[in-house]
Amino acid sequence: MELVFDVEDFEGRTSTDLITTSIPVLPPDLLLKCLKYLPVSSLPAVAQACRRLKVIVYSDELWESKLQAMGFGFGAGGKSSDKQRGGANGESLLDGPNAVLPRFPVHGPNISEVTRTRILANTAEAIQGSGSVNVNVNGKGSGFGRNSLSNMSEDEARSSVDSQLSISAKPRVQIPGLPGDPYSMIQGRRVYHGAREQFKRIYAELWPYYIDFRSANKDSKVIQEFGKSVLDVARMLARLLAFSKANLAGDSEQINENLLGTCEYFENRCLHLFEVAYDSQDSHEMAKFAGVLLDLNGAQACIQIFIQKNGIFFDNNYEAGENLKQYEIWLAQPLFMRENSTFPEFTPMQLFMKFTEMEFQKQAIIIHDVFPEEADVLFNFTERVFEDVISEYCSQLFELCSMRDKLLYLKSVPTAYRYLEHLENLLVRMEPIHVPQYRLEKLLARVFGPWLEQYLKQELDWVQKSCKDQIDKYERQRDRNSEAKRMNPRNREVFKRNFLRGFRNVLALPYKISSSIVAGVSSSSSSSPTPSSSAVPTLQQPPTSSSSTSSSATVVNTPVTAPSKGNNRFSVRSNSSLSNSNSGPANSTASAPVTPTTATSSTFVPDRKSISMGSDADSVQSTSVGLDSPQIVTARDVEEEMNSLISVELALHLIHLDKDALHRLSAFAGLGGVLGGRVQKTIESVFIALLRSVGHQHVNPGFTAAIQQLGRYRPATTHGSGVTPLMDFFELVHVADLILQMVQVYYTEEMCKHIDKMDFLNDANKEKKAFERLIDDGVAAGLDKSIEVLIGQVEYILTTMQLPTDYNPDENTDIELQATMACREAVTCLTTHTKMLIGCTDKHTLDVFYQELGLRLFNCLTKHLRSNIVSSQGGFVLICDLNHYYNFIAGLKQPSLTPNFLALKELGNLFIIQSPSDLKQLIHDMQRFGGILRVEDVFEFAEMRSDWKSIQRIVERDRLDCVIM
Amino acid sequence: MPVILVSSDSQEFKVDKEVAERSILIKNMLEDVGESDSPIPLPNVTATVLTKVIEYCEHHRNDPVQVPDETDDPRKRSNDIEEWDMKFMQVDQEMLFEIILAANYLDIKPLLDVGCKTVANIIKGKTPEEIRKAFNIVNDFTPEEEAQIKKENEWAEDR
Repeated sequence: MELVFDVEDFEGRTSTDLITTSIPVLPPDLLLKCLKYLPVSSLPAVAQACRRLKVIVYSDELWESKLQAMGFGFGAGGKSSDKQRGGANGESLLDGPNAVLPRFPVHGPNISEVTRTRILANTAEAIQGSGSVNVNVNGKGSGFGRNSLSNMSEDEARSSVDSQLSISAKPRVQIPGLPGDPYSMIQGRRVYHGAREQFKRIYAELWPYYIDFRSANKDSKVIQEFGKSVLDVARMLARLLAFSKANLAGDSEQINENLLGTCEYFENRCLHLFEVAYDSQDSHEMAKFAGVLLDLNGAQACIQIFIQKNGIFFDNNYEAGENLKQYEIWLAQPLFMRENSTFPEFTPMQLFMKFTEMEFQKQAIIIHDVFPEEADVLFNFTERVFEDVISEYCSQLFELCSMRDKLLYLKSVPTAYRYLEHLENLLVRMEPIHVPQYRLEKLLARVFGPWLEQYLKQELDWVQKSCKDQIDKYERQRDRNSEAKRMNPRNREVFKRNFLRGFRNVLALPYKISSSIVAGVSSSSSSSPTPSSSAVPTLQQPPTSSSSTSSSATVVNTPVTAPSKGNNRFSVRSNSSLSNSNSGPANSTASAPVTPTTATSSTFVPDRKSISMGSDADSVQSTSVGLDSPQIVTARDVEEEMNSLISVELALHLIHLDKDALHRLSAFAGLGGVLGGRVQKTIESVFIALLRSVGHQHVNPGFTAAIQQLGRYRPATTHGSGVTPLMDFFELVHVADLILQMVQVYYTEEMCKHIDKMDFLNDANKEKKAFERLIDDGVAAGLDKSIEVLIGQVEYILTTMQLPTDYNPDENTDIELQATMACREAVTCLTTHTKMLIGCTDKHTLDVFYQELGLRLFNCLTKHLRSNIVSSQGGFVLICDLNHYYNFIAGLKQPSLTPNFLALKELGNLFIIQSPSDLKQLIHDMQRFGGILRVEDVFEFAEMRSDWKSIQRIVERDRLDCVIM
Repeated sequence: MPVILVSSDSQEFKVDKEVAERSILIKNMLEDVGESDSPIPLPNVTATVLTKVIEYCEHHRNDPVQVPDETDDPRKRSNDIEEWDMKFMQVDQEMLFEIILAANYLDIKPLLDVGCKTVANIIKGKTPEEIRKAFNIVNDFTPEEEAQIKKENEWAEDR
């Protein structure tokens, strides 16, 4: 307390003789700054010079800066290392083993308590009317923040606060008009003599040893006194090192140099002994010297040596090139062997990773024995292994792979990542010590990040490029093969259903197998399980419905003769497969239950007939080959597929290609952060690439071409086989629908693992919508065109085939009461084509199509009928025709069309009525025509009567009246 | 664009902006004011001192800007002064203090540091009496007090 007293005294009497002194021209803060540059040994003299200087020399701020320099955690300097060591020793570095000083908690629990009392004290001072309160608060605040870091026990704090209060209790002498005396500010900052006292204590203990280094080196007092215990020497040296930072004497630089030299010497000795212990695998000795070095300077050099001496860094026999060799061997195998063993497992890499894992486990035990956990050696080791060994291996592997084969590279990266993930899991759970997961994740991201980015880019490129290649290849093949083949219209439904079911199963399988299976699915689409399809055992759902129908068809096959030769040209897309089932298993499935559905089976007959009869050499050949080796059937199937404008097979290939990419990408799906976001983006992009190539590059051009074909079509006699471009187009619609559904299946089964279905802002979802719209638009545009074509065809049939005598037969010929040839032909034409569309596109589109078709047909018919003359006898024939048309329309199940054709049907009555007055009545019976036909229209039809001339006057009389009225 | 500085005795100094901005005070002022060619008054600095300060800034115009560091480097010593700075600081005491004050006011940290180091060097190794003489300080202790203080600080002396 003597200082406080002094200052009081000083303030009381010295304000007058200040003028003569020159150094106090500087404000105390700047003086303090000057004094901070002085070595400790110069400070006593300064304190004796005058009172003002004494206040500054005694101020804690000065000594705090010294303590700070020694590494007491006030500021940044030396903080972290000190903390580490402090924790290791359980006591602060500068406190000797016998030090009376308590430990230095960085954050004492009593801080808030002290702060509170401190504020109280300030307030008390303010009440006392001290002029320096404002500045005080700031000064004390900052000064106190530091003080609170030192270990002020609560009692100490109390007492210091008490003393503060007691000082404040004395009335102060203030010079009026002046702010608080600046020296009292410095004095006021001092809460207690903590810093100076503490420094004094440390100084007293360490100074003798420190000053000894002025002349001594290895023979210094430290070594002499503590030589018995290496650990004690290390601790003492470490303390002296910290101590030396405080600018202690005028020649401290020289002393520090000597000290450092001794430390280095000591460290080298210890390192050497550590190495010796390492070589003899004496973990006890290792632990001893590691501990010594840890206390000396954190043992960074020791840890480096420990890590570097591990054989994994310079002596492992694992070469990335081994993987390539394995790949070449695998390639050299014959084809069928390759099918069974799916390469790239990267077995050498697996071995390498196994080795690394074992090494980690081994090291973890040693590290646990040798180093304390705070030294963080395991992580250091892990970091080095990742950055050096694994990184080198992987980058080499990736480089070699990408030079050898793009696809191999694309496989190598995810595989490597999976192995590393496994390693990561091991490290996180390892006993007895483990690496914290977050650090490991960060490390992995750092090491793998660049490769991953490169890979993502390549993967996307690959998908885009190979999609394009596939499509190009397909188009080249199609150009070579001009004849179009079509799916069997009858079992189209069954085919599609089975195909999709198979597709769903197959989607879960890897590409190599699945591609053949899918081919199998498509080839066995309407066949019972044949020997060929049993070669692909994974397809466990043989389409039962189709197998029953087809087998029954085979059974019924014989008694029915071909009633519709016209279907001969219907060579079927699943041609070979059908013939497959016919020639292959037909005899074997003779025992199949004959289903009661003779009706359906009979519908199958024509096609089957046509195939078995009209099967060209090609399909026969394929059948025979197909039985031998299913693989080649696949190829042939694919080729036949190629003929169409849009190919399911191609889409399937593309989807599988995409799926493989997705599968590879999914190795990274668990990643978070920026990289995870990139992975997600790439997953979406890959899907989008698929949709784009299927949609824009394949389906859309297909539709355009088909529509062009439709536009070029001129009606011609077809003899019931249908209009080729129309058939083509409807076929196309089916295929497109199938592709759409395949994409849908792929989307729900695979993509939904990665993206949120409901997220309508997601790019992939948006693209999928666009894809669907694209197909719908194509269908709609094509249907529009096809209505024109179809109606044109109907018109053509009617004009060419409708004989003038049809409705106006000679008096003496017997009339057959059945629809005319032209009518039947037209309706057959319509029926075949409309039936093709069933189930190929959504119902709404179909309804629109039917309605439009019906309306146009209605117009077409009315126009056509008016060109004929109808006798009363022919009227009956006409009625037959009209009924026939009506029945066709009714079959379409479009309620909005029925009134039109009902009205049309009613028209027939016009021609069988004999009495003109009755006719007149009929013509004016608007209800009968349901408002579809106006009176004028009906009149026009009535004019078609052969006897119109004779009855015209009577019938028209009232009409004219009406007009006049 | 040159900046015009006006000393307390109304002398105008035309200096490059780059030089003037060695002073953080002026730098901040210029940033606040923006583009303006009105002179900057420095009422706490006389023309003689300002000349000296500008000389320093001219010489150090290309130094890297110091990172504002609140905590002074604790390891600092008084004897690592550049040669030019050492010469520059060979001025009479009054001027030395004036420069330190000006550097403090103008917030030119390197200059302030050099000034303080120079002061420390003057003090270093001197007896109390020598210090008093060097700075023209009147001893305001009684002999008893002086002895008492000497005793209190004996531990820190380099014996």
